[in-house]
Amino acid sequence: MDDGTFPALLKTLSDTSEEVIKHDLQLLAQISSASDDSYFKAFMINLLDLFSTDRRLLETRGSLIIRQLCLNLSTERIYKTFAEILEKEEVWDMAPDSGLNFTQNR
Amino acid sequence: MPFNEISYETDVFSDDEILQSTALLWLAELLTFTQEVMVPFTPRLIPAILPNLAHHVPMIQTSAIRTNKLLLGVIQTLPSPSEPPSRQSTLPIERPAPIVARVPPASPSLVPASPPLSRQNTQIPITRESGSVESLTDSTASPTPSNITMQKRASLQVQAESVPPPRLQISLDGQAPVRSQTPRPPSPQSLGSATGPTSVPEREIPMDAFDYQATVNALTIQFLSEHEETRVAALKWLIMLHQKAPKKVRHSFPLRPPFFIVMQTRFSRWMTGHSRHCSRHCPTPPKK
Repeated sequence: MDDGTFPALLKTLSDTSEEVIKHDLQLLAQISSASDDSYFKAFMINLLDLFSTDRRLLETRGSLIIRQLCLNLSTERIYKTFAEILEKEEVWDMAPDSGLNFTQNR
Repeated sequence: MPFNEISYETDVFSDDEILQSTALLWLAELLTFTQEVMVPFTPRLIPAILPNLAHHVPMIQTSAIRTNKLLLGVIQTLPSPSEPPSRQSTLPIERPAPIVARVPPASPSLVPASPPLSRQNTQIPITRESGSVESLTDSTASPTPSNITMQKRASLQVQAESVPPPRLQISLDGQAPVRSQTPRPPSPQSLGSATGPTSVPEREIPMDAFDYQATVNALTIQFLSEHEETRVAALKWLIMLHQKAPKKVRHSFPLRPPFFIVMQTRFSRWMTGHSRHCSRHCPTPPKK
């Protein structure tokens, strides 16, 4: 149970309801900003991992998720962290999509 | 029907809407005037209330909404438990206090969420005696809220010193505190501090009567609800709890579940292995 909370929050990002996703992201952002940098990075890695495994989520909600996160956290920080992760990632073909989200967001 | 979980106040048949609605209204009424009795039951009230926020019967739905609002308000007005740990985190850097202060952080891993708090509270006076100047500058540095919390803490300390064993019981089992302990310990104190027991109800709620861990767990289960309202309400609850006690709630978001470790190793790999990464992508290094 204890270990289930963070995965549960990540999993909730795939919720059908936009309202649920927004609140979920608000909470995740709140936890990240109250935590140290490693937590934020781990969160970003997990988020990208989720996108890479669930392409449909990336296509339908990717933009919403990134925008909502940028509302609550530093856009620059998210952008840079994503860039770092994507740069090192070997099989990533989602970079154009997430890049698009960023440019739309800015 | 998933709503037969309301077995707390009365035994309600799942299909009896009037009874179900009435039970929720009972909870709402109890929340308005005996908050200190209700607070320890929060982890059990949540699964009784939240699923009904989307009930198809309007009567039950409105009762649930009202009860949820009241319970949320009660928890929100509880004294924030995040301050003692934060103060302790500043103390060890400065002064002899660390020996005292280091004991409580070791305990949370062994004992469930709440007991450490009571111990911290009982130990704070010791640290304050040793470094009274610091505590004074502390209270002046941060504005009025700290004074209020200090008063609250003082009252809680009195409580903790007078009746320590029952408080431990409350936090450990969290199940049957109502009849035995929770209403009782405050009452002699309320006679001492304030004449009317109902005048300042928040002060009398012991901080560790509220089990953060169990509440977070109960809320997490509500994510699985099929109703959007329920899921949103659960998230709102968690947002509120995290705002209230960032350290406590974050504690329950584990930094290292199994798959996190995988991520961390991956993360550290690309942090350290720049050269390896490069060699993977450029299998034939440039020869000159």
